[in-house]
Amino acid sequence: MARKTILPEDQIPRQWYNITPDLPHGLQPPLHPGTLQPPGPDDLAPIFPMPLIEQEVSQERWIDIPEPVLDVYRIWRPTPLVRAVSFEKFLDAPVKIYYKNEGYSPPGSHKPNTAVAQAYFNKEFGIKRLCTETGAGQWGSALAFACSFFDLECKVFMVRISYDQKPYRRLMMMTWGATCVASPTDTTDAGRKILETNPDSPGSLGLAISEAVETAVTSKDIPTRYCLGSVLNHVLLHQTVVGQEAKKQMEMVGDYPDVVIGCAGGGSNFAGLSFPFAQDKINGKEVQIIAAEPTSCPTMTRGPFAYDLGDVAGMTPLLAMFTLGHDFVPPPIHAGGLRYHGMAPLISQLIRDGIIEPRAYHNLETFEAGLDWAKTEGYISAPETNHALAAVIEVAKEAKEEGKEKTILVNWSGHGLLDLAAYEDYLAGKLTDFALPEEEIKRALKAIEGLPKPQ
Amino acid sequence: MLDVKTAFDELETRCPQLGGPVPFDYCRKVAEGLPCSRALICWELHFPVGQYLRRILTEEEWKKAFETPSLSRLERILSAADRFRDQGGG
Repeated sequence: MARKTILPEDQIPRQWYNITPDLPHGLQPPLHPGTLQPPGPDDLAPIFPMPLIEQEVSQERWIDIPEPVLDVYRIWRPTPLVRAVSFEKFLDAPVKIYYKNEGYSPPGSHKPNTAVAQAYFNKEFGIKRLCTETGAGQWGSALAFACSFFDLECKVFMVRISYDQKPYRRLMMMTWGATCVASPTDTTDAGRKILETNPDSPGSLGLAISEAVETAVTSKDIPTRYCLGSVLNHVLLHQTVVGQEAKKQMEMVGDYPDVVIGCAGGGSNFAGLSFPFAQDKINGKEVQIIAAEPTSCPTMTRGPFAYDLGDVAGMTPLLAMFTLGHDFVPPPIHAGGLRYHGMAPLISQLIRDGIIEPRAYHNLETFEAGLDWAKTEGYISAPETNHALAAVIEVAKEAKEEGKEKTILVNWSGHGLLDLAAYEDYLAGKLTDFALPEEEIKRALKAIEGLPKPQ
Repeated sequence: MLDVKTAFDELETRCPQLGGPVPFDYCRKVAEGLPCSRALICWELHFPVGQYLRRILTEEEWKKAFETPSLSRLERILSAADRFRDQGGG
């Protein structure tokens, strides 16, 4: 049986798919925090170039991919669609599993699909330098890679705690010619303010965003703009090459997925694979679309309702585990409108519309899935990607229980070769879902027992 | 003697925002000295974090950390852009 389905280069998608006009109930616009009105071009223009602002609000279903972007895409695209034959055997369930190998790109993830597009449109708009923030460095390295093709300067503010932990991503950025600095820095007001009070600050993603935006907005000598690698509509748009290729490749093997799966943090790789299939679903096709996320950050399944019982993921028994019978029950933290806080608005809307089903997975089961995958399919997955693999295993088990054959399509969004420290922790037994032994909890709580609550 | 405020500081979990391990110490004070708005969710499987933070935070700090809606990514970007533009940027 052939494992790989290779789409010829001349079949590479020439348009991105914009799902916005197909949303059953439209998209609630974001509100500007200052004016409480939807942000207009004047609000966005100092941050993003006009072509990307137009894409952000576009109601056009198809948007042409410029030839220079396709030229760079062709370095690694179309990516292979692979039948996970060995993983299927291992699972021993009535499932066919196909995965889209997005770890095939030079930076090793799906992120360059939008990084290249953003770099191109900025260049065309006369921008000379791009700024961004990065946590683990996956996005920063993708943007550094993209900028190198369009002769753009690239400055990446990497959260210091990650900067110290993840030297190899930083070195990738530098190899592609980017400047990677540990945030907070003394080059911005936002950074200096923090360093004044805490010179050893480990930084935060919020602060790194502020530094990158400040640099973009205040740069007068070098035209500079800011780039973001997830959440925004235009970012998700650029990723749809993944799903479009997958559809063509599924056609080549004469198949169509019953279930489409991706992991979802900010939502871009998930959207990239799933939106073209969501379009089919909106038009009446039967396909289950699952967004997999960590139980430790259940943005979609539970949102900020940390103690919201009866959640859609059926996590209620776990929630009760640490109530310990004490009298304190925190109230729900936010209103319902913030339930999907942190997730891309397009995905949030599709969840509300019942097109996408979110599910959450524990840390340990995701690493177990990643190891099973590595031992059968060979590839070592990024820890985020392991959430999608955990979902594949769950769906396979369901198929077995139901005695129903299913075809699964999953986005293998990136390799984990720079995340081996996390695998080391897992293999050494350092990762647990319940990190603290009961006696330790009791000891720590004993220490704070009877203390007056601060006023 | 266990220091109440730092009792759980050395525990580690994976931060889904940063994509790497962080100690509780980081999550406890990352937001200008206050806990990350997601701390209750990320740590609830490790120890009774809500109960613990209720004890060590003032009511005002708790409200600021957990009951004030935090900004979405786009809101944060717009807010930062406004702030720096008002400060005389380009």
